[in-house]
Amino acid sequence: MEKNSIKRITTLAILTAVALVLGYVESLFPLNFGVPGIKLGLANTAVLLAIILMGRKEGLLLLLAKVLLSAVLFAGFAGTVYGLAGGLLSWTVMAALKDIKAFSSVGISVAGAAAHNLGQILVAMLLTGSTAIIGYFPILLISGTIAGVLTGLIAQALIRALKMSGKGNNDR
Amino acid sequence: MKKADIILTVSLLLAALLLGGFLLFGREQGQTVEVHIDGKLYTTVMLSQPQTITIDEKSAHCVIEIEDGSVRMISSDCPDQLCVHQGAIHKAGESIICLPQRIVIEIKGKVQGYDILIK
Repeated sequence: MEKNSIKRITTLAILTAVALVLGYVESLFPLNFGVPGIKLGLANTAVLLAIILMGRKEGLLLLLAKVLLSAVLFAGFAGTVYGLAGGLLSWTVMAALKDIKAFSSVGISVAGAAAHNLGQILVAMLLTGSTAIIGYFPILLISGTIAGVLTGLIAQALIRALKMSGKGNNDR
Repeated sequence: MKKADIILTVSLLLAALLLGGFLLFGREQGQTVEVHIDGKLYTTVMLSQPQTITIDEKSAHCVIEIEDGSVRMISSDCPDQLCVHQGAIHKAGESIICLPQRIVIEIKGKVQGYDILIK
């Protein structure tokens, strides 16, 4: 465990850096479909990887570190609140589905993306004090589901590649 | 991808389409326009009365126009300008939302359940 913890910390740090950079790069190229909040959610791939390869706790740590660091570096107040609410809800769902064998990482990713969108909408309702924002939800859910499939496939390919090269954490 | 993945994906897409269809159709011409800023009701006006509303509060700056029974955001002090690009709306339940400035323009329909109320 002692040896392992160094490996865990290092892996987690690398994944956090990856998540942070992916989130930042994405914020530079906003997808404009007339509804705010549409994005690919590439950083979610890192959280998903951490949950599947390392464990739920590590996934949560990665998520919190990512949200905190983006808040300090570039996200701003609103972006941080959306990121935290969406991220926490998404983590909860992905952590719950992790051990259900019927789902591959794609299913877990899709469910996480949908939960992320729900979190965004709930925060937007709180911030605007209006339920009118629910009108954005269908479009957000469709784009989120498609993005979830894409990031899930990326995570799946990465997990396979890591396991093949023997670099993955094999003790689970 | 496993079978359960596909079922989940398809059901989420269907749910989104159903909700979207329900929100888009099944709505009638609105009666009044409510403008909320930061969660508080700023003003209520009739949708049938053409006018221009200029909002110049400390956190919210925008111009709203009501014309031909519909309402639109003419200009807004926000970075993304999504509210301006959304164009005009006229159905009950529709809304224009400027998230950066927390401005919500919402169209309300008839008061449900009564044709007229006499006291």
